[in-house]
Amino acid sequence: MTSVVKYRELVHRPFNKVLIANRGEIAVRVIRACRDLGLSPIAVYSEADADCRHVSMADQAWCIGPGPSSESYLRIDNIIQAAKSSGAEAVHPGFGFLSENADFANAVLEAGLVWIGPSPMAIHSMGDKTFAKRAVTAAGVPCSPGKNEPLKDVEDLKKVISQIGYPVILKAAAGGGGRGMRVIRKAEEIEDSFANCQREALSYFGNADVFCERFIERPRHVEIQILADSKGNVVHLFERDCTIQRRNQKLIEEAPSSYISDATRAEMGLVAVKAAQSVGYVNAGTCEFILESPEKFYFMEMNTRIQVEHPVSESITGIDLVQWQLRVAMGETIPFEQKDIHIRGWAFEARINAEDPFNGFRPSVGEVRRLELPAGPGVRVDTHLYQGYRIPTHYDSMIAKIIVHGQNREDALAKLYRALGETIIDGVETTIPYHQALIRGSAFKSGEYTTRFVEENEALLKEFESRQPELSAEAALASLLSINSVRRENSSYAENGNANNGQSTPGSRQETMNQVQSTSPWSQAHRLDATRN
Amino acid sequence: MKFKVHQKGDAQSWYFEISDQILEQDLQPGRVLLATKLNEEMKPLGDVQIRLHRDRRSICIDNMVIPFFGAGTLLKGTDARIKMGAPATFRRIAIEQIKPIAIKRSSSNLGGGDQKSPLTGKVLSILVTDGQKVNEGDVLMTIEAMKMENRIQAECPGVIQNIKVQSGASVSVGDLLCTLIPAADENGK
Repeated sequence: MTSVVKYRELVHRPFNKVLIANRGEIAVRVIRACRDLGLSPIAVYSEADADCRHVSMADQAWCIGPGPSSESYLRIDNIIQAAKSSGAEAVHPGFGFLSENADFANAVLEAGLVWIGPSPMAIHSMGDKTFAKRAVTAAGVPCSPGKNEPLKDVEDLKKVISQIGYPVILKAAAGGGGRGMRVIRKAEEIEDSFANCQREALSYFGNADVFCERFIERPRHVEIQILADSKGNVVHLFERDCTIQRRNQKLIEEAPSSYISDATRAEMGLVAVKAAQSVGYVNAGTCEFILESPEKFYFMEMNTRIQVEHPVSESITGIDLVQWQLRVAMGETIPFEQKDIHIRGWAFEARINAEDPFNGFRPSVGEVRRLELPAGPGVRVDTHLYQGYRIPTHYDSMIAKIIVHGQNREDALAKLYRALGETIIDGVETTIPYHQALIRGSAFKSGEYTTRFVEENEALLKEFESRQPELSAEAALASLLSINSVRRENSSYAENGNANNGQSTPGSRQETMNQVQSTSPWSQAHRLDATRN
Repeated sequence: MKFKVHQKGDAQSWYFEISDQILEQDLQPGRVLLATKLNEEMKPLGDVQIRLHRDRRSICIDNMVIPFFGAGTLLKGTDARIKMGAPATFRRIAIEQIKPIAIKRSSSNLGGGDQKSPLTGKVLSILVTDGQKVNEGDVLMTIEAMKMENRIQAECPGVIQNIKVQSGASVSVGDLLCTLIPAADENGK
């Protein structure tokens, strides 16, 4: 970094009006925490989100620009303006968008508002991977062997490789989200990979600095939830196992992890607390680790915000993390110590995305025509969906999180399977079938898998489909009538003129039925395919 | 109308006769309807009672509760995917009308023809040019939606014509992207 920015210190004081600089599911989650504390939530929204659930749940709602996030949810000036106009006293960033942007945190403080999160300096420090690794190494946190400084040139890289051996991974210092990374397995690849990685780092993150560390082929991904107050108290809420990922995007998370022992758990918790203390961390945060074996773990990065999968930690500890984010920002002291926090039972979270798992996880946008959410013992659903909601194309495809809490891992898995089976989301394709196939697989049941599991088990869904119990006569008749009613629903939907009013066509695959003009829908074969309408 | 119903992978098929009236009216929740179960020779085996539950989550057939969830998805040909069972999972089911009308083989069931956008998003890149020959599975263009890159692939071998979009353009579901003239048509088949 050439220019040295003077970052402001955090301020802590009670507030009433909270602006939530986010949308969708997490905005709904924060609004609920505000209501629980008797605070007044203020929503912001883009033009594409005027009908989003978080808008109607808030006390005030301010439009901050057009649909694309670069013109709305990523516009610091617009959000600060909305905060001032609305009389907000504090800002909660949620996750994604500007949540890990030190300049945004700084702008909030500069506007005289309370920032609900760690200090801009802590965000900045943890955002630079090489700086973060140096800081935590100094505090005694184990990191994967490598060089914790930007590499000067190819010779520098060769020297590091001669020390740590193949394979190594090159990463962008300012990177994240699985982008700007390259694995080197032999000497011939060094020069090309180095140049390419630098180029990618520059284009993705505006900073060509890359560093390198030893690459772990088949790791587990386990992270520790941290909560720190402004008085210097830091506790951890144990771990979450997020090993099941697809293209570096987590699909399913659980707490605790079935992979590690109590001793490793305690050691990792201690290390995460140290990492947080090394940057003077305040509020909720997460230390991500990769595990080479059940005992050998390395610090990867720290996420300086609330995470998507926070509900599993809430379930097993009984601590409302988002509520504590607000209370810590108000200057409250955490009233419990590490010894008061215990793991109760087992929790899972399945991320429901509007993607078609039968079709390469292609995004599926459209209108939610029918919605029925699961309930019952141990089931929690965090979502912004409602019947009639149109999913906009501009944002992330995550539309709901199904969280279950059971007495043990087996019970929690059974409850997750039950909850997924009760869910109805019609009008868009979702990842629910994939989750069902995943948790019924033997590898998932036994807990033996790595971060490569999804890519190494491509046929998972197909195999699951072919393992279904035999069809009974009654079920055969029911499916015949069900498909007939799909055909009818679709034709009446098109007749009402709902199918084409400027927005995208809901359930495009089903809509194709309308184009098959015939007196009887059964008198010819229907050629239906997602690529042709 | 008579139907054959079959689940992929099963040895057994089921046969039913349902009146056109029921098929055309849709199921009225709460109303009892009758269908006839047939054997393989299309001989009636007896009537079955059908009642759709008012919450539309299950259907009672001769005292058996069959949960089925949501609309289901129609696939190629006679295939459908239906969420059913308890807990509900997705099943692949083929439903055929008995004595179907023979289907003419044409470009419309070979694949090819107008290639329309399956999603709403932004065209990232166009990898083909007018007149270019492509094979099945070749990537024609990529469209970005929800922060993800989606590949539009050729569904049959053929020739690309009439490219209607440019890279950077926004497209909606159903917008014409290009036309794919199937190779089989060219050969005059």
